[in-house]
Formats: sequence, C-alpha cells, structure tokens
Amino acid sequence: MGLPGIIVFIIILAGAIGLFAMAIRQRYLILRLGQPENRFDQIGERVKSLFVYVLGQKKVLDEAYPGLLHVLIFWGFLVLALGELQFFGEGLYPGFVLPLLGHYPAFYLIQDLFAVLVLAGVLMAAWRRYVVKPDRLERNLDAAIILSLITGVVLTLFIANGLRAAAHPAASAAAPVTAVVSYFLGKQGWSLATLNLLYYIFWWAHVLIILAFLVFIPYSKHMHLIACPFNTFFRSLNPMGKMLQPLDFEDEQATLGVRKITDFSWKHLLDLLTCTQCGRCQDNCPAYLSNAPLSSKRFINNMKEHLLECGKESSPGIAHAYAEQNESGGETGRLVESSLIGSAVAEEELWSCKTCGACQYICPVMIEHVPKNINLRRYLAMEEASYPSGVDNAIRCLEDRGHPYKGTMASRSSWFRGSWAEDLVKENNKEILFWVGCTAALDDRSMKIAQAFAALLKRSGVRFGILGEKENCCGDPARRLGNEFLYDGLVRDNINLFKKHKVKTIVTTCPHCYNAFKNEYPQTDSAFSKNYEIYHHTEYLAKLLEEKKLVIASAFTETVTYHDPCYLGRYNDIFDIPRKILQNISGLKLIEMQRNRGRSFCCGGGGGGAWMEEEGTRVNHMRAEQVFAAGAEVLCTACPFCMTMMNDGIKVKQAGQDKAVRIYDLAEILETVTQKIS
Amino acid sequence: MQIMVCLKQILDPELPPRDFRLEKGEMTPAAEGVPLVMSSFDQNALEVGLQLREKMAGATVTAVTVGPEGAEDVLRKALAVKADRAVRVPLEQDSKLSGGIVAGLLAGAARELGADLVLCGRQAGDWDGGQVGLILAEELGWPGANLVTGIEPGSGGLVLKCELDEGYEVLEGNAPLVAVVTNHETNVLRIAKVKDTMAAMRKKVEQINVAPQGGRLELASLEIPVKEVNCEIIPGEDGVEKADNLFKRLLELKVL
Repeated sequence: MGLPGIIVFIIILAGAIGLFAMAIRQRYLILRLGQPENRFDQIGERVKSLFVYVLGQKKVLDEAYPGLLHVLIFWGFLVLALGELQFFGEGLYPGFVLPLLGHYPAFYLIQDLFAVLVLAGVLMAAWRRYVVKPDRLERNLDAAIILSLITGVVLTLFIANGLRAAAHPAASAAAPVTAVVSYFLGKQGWSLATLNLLYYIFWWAHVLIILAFLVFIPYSKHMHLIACPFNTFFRSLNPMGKMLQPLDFEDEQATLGVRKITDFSWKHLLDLLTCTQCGRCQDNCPAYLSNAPLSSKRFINNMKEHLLECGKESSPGIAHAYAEQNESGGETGRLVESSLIGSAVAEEELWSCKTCGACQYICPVMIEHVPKNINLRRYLAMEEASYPSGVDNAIRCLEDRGHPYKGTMASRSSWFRGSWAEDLVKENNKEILFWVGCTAALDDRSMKIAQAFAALLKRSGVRFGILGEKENCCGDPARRLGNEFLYDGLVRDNINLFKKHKVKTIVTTCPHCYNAFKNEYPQTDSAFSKNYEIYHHTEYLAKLLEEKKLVIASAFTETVTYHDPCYLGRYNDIFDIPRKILQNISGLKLIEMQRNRGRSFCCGGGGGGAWMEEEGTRVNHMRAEQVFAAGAEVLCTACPFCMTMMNDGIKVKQAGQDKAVRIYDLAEILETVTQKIS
Repeated sequence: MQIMVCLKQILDPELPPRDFRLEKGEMTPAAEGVPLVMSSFDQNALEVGLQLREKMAGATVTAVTVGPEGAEDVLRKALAVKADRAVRVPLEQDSKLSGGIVAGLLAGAARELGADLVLCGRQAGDWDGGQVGLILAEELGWPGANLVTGIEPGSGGLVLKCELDEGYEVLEGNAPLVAVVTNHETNVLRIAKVKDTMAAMRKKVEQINVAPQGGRLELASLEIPVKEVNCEIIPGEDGVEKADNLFKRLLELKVL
C-alpha cells in the first residue's frame, strides 16, 4: 500500500482509538460519581480471580451451551487480536512479519483455526438468540450489530487472506480455511492486479469493521469486554452473607440508604456498566419466574440506562461539574440528583426481591444485585418509613416485642413448656447456647424443629442453655427490610446479652440467625468472631455424629430430596454437610430437585417475603411443584422459614398428586433415627 | 389549636393468656420479660391528632401520659412521629388507678396546657376500662364525642366522624371538646422515620404535677381464673373408626 493509503489508515486508526478513548474516559468519569469503597485489599486473590473467572471463564461455563459459545468467541478473539497485528502489517507493508510470531507457519494455522471457532461461536449465538429465542435474551439492535460485526470480522479475514494467498501462493502454508478460500478464488482466473485490488478492498473492509467494533464497544452491552476484567478484579471477596455494608448513624446529615444513583459506591456503578444482558440472573430469579414485578436483569439495566443518561447530562466534565454542584449545595433538578425510586426502579420491584441471591451467585460478570436492592430499601424504610402492607406490622412488632410475628399466640417458652427443658434458662455454665430464633420459637410447625434439636442435644449429653423470654430477634428481618437502625439496635442488645450470659458457643437452627452471627455481627463488634463460635445446627449435628456422641441406629426408608435454604447454601456455602448426613442414614434414598445447591430455588420466605402478600404465583407453590416433579416422598430442609413456607406450599399443591409428600427438618429426621449413647 | 392526646403505657396485650402472671402478693401483673407498649386505641387517637394538625395551620399536638418515668417511652414514640410536645404527669402504682382518678389527673394537665381538643383511645388495651375519656369530658365540663374515627376542620368548627354498629354518623362541634377515638383503617398510627426517632431521643419530656383526687372505687382483689380443660383426642384411621371409638368412649364415660 502506498504512502497515501498508510496515511489514511493512520488517520482512521487514530480517529477510532480517539473515539474509543473518549468514550472510556467518559465511563470512567461516570464511575467517579459513586461513593468511595475500598476494593483494593487481597490483591493476590483478586489477580487470581482474573485467571479463574476471566481467562478461565469458570462462571460462564456453568451453563453448557451459552458457556461453550462464549468461550469459543472469547478465546477466538484473544488469539485473533494478536493475528490482527500481522494482518494490519501485511496490508500496510507487503512482506511484513510480526516479530517472533509471524515467522512460524503455525501462526497462520492457529489464526485460521481460531477464526473458525469464533465463527462457530457466533453461529451458535445467533441460533440461540434468533431461533431458540430464550426468554432471557432480547433481539435488539445492539445484539444484531455485534453479531454482524463479529461475523464480518471473520469473513473478511478469510477472504482477504484467501485473496492474498491466491496472489502469492507461497505465503498460504498450513492454513486450511484460507487455502480452501484461496483455491476457489484462484479458479476465477483473475489477474494478479485484480486479486491485489480485491485483497485491498477486503483488507480495508476488515480494518474498518474491527475499528467500528472498537468504537461501538463502550456504547453497547459489549462494554463488558472492557469492564468485566475490572469488575472481576474488584469483586467482593466476602461470602454473600457479608456483602451489606453497615451504616453510620452518627452522621446525621447523611442520607440513609440510596436515593439517587450517586449514593451508590463506584463499584456498584461499575456493576451497572458491566452488565452484558445475558439474563442468567433473570432465569434464576424466583420473583421474575413467579411473575412478580421484578426481573433482576431489568433492575440492573434500568439503573444502567439511568446512569448513562446522567453521564450524558453532565458530559464531558462530569466529576468536575458534580463537585461544583456539591459545593454550592443546591438542588439543580438534574437527573443525577433525582430519585431512582419511582423512576428507574419501582417500589414494588424492590419489595418483590426475596434476597435469595440466585442472581448474583449465577452472574458471570460478578454483579452484586442484592446489596443494591437492600440499599434502596434502606432509603424507603428509614427516610420515608414506607413499607408494603404486612411488613409494617412485622416492623412495629419487632420494635415493640423483639420478634416479627404480630398476633402470635405463642411465647418464646411455648415450645418447651412443661417438659424436661424447664431449667434450660436457669442454669449457668453451659457448653453451648441454643439460639432458638423467632420462627422456631413462635411458629407452631417450626417449634417441632426446636424440640427435635433440643432432644438431639440432650441425647448427645451436651449441656446446653437457652435464653427463653430474653431472646430477641437476631435482626436479619429488619436488615433485609431496609431498617438498618432497628437491626443495629437489636445487634447491640444481643451482643450485650451474650456478654452478660458469658456465652462462648452459639448454635441455631435458623440460617438467617446463623448468617447474622457468622457474617454480620462482626461488622458491629470486631471481636465477635474471636469471642464466639457459631454453628448452624446442621454443622453441629455433623460434629456430634463424627464424635460419635450421636449414632444412627435405625433406617429411614424414604426417598428424600433436600431443599437448600438460601442463607445456608448460597450465603454460606453449606451444601454438602446436610447431604452427607442424609446419605449416611441407611435406607434413605437422596434425590435432587432440578434446581439444587447454588441454583436452588428460594422458598419465598427470605428478605421479608414471609410477611408480604405476593403478586403473581406464589414462590413456595412453585418450589412445591418442583418437589413433586422430583418424585420425593420426603422434603428435608434446614431452616424454619423454609419449613413454614414449604409446609404451606406442599399442602396446597398436594391436591391431585398420586403420593403425599411429608416435610421435615434435618434435625427431625435425625431425631427419629439416632439413639442414646450410654 | 392545642390538641392534647392521652397515651397509656400498658403490658403487651399480645402476651399469650397462659403467660399472664401476677406479682407475688400484689395486685399488679408481673412485668418482667413482658414488653411495654403504647395502648393500641391511643395510637389511633394520636394518628387522628396528627392528621388534624396537618390540616390546620398553627395546630400543635401534645402527647400526655400519666405514670412513672418508664412510661416516657410512649411519649418518645409520640415525639418520633412528630408530636410537638411531650408531657408526663408523674404517678407511681399506675395499674391500681381507677379510671376516675386518671381522668382527674388528665383534666388537670389539660387545664394547665390550655388544651382545646383532648383525644383519648376508647379503652386501654390492658384492663379495657373504657371510662377515662368520657369522665375526663365531665371533669372538664366539655362535650364528649364517642367512637370517633377521624376529625376534619369544618367551616364552623370541627367535623367528627363516629362509628355506629352499621355505618357512621357525622358530628359537628366547636372546641373545646373531648373525642374518644376508636380504630379504623384510616387512623393506623404511622411508622416513625429513623431520623425522627433519633431526634426524639434527645427531645425534652416536660412534667406537670397534678394532685390525684381520691377515687370512690378501689381495686379490692385480683386473681387469674383457673380454667380446667380436659381434652382427649379420639384415635382412628378414618371417620368410621373415629366415630366408633367416640361412641365407645362416651359409653365408658356414661354420657350415653
């Protein structure tokens, strides 16, 4: 290519890079609108995440077909990107060879091969989006442009390389697709000049498509190409149960929770920019699947659109303009100052979330959906005192009585009244505190969980105590419902209670209490993890079985399926312990529901769901249908909320089924099959 | 307009009956481990007062309680939902007080405060006496409206909506008056905003001392009724077997 061609190329290249850089800078300035948050700890772990989740595509591969097609395109493009340097060079200087790589014949073979893989990936993607049409994918212009551009990149590469090979047969070694293309083009009987001209036309087409793609990236869902490595690097390294940040109530001027987009931290804004609209979250969202007014995907994308609009409004000097405005302190009526709630996000959406965490467990680009929701709920709950009906009573009751069950006819001593456990509250010097939790203490069905677990402790010879009427709510419902102030008060009261009673070890049957003690109390009292050993009863029972303090003595000949409580499984990674216990019971056949472990389906009771009226289909009814579909005789769970919700769900869905399903907590099953060790 | 709302702190009425105990040797319920709450009809009265204030420029709401220092918790709650002032009439041994004595104390406070409108719940959630409001009207020599669910400012004074067995009646009147409030979906007490709750903790609770006038009726004894329930579950796989077993059992008991 002559000098004019090179000059034109350089101008276009510089223009494209300039446009790309401007757009990226603008996105960066948008992030600066967010609040500070430290995500620079544990650098080693963060770098490792890049290898595992970006290069290794671990989460992407959770789903076979979309995972495979993504890996083909992703790895194909990584390799092609290197090849592009050689390709650009060849067009500009005939005979150009990329240092180190360009000499090897294998280079062309690999480029050829990976281009085929990209094409295969694109065809798989197009088939899925336009023929299979899964609900979670949109057929919008964005997707069409991206798929066309990628196809264009690969096709022009093959044709240009083919033409070049036809013109200079010596250069086409060991590149099968190029060779085939070159063979057919060579048969046309074109002159060398025609072949060269056509080569330049396709070379330019290829270059322009690549550069168009580059410029298009920041404006499209393909922004994830840039943002995902950063979002993965800055991902939360905490368990899901520790992702909510506590609030500072000393600062009376601060807004409690999130009202406007800039109340979020920069990492939450980066989340929004990273979303690639794959819809995996939505596919696993119990609210969406039950036709409640929430789709986790829409939730993120509506806020993303709002954020980008805010960016446009203030462009180009967003951060500067915002700082100026802060100094003047005035409301300007600008979008960046407007409330998210009621515009980008509807109140009903926020309250439809069960905080089950399926969305973020599954998200391949590490978006943290649930903390965003809770932060918005915090604003509604604390600044507006606005709750959905049913929840207001639970909150009032928590304030007045330290439990959320308004109208209960039980007290915290109902479950052990008149039995052997009367002295539990009196004696000191106990090995463990059995923290019963509001649901197991006050709900008729769940009381049996407390009774079974207490019987197992007694059978094992463990000296345990309970707090009886002095026990409070752990605070989890208040926190999930956005009332961090109420949560904070309950936590401080409970920590004082533990200190007063010289508690060392706390065991609870409720995964919500467990998560609060394990992950959230240490946010309030930094010595909490050091001072107290926390067990969920499934962990403690496993320990008792291992120490042979409990021995399984009789069979349980039933087909059992285990329902993973969200706050035990996804929130705390306890999937295997309860399953192992069940598998060790003779006669028990453990089967899995289609949605299990990390992809388990919520019972509908989390996040305050237990006190809300649901719109659409009830989540517990859907889960009950999944239990029947699995063909289980017994549903086993390990959470009093799941027990209440699933008990109701199974009762309703029992009609018309051939066989009955009974529901037990793991402790109840163990209570029937273990014996006293003398 | 000065709106005075009378609030009573009571033992949680949601306490299961079987957990109800008396202090040993005393005629007072045992309060240990039992939450103390604002009586529910008083919450309705407070909400009616707050709604009326929102519709009347310059109106203020003063929350008043009679009781020991601990009773100030209900006043803090009232401040948290933005009552303008909180006043306690100090008095110990609250639970033995008859309605007449309490009404006398509240009347003293109303005079001291220069109240134009006094709102009371229709009955306290603990003893369900239902006397204070109307005796208070009598003490003050003001008209008293009963079973009020809401009050609006009208052209000539106040418009009170009152509940009837079926339907409602509307009363018109001028302050001063006493309105005895009952519950309705329109007067559920609002939830306090967190910052208002925090501010309420720092606000001052005033005291007004009123000398109690001797009541003519006094509590002489207090006992928890003993109920014996003998419940027997008749076994049986199905209705036929259960009916059969029931028949046999009734024969055994010589009922049949």
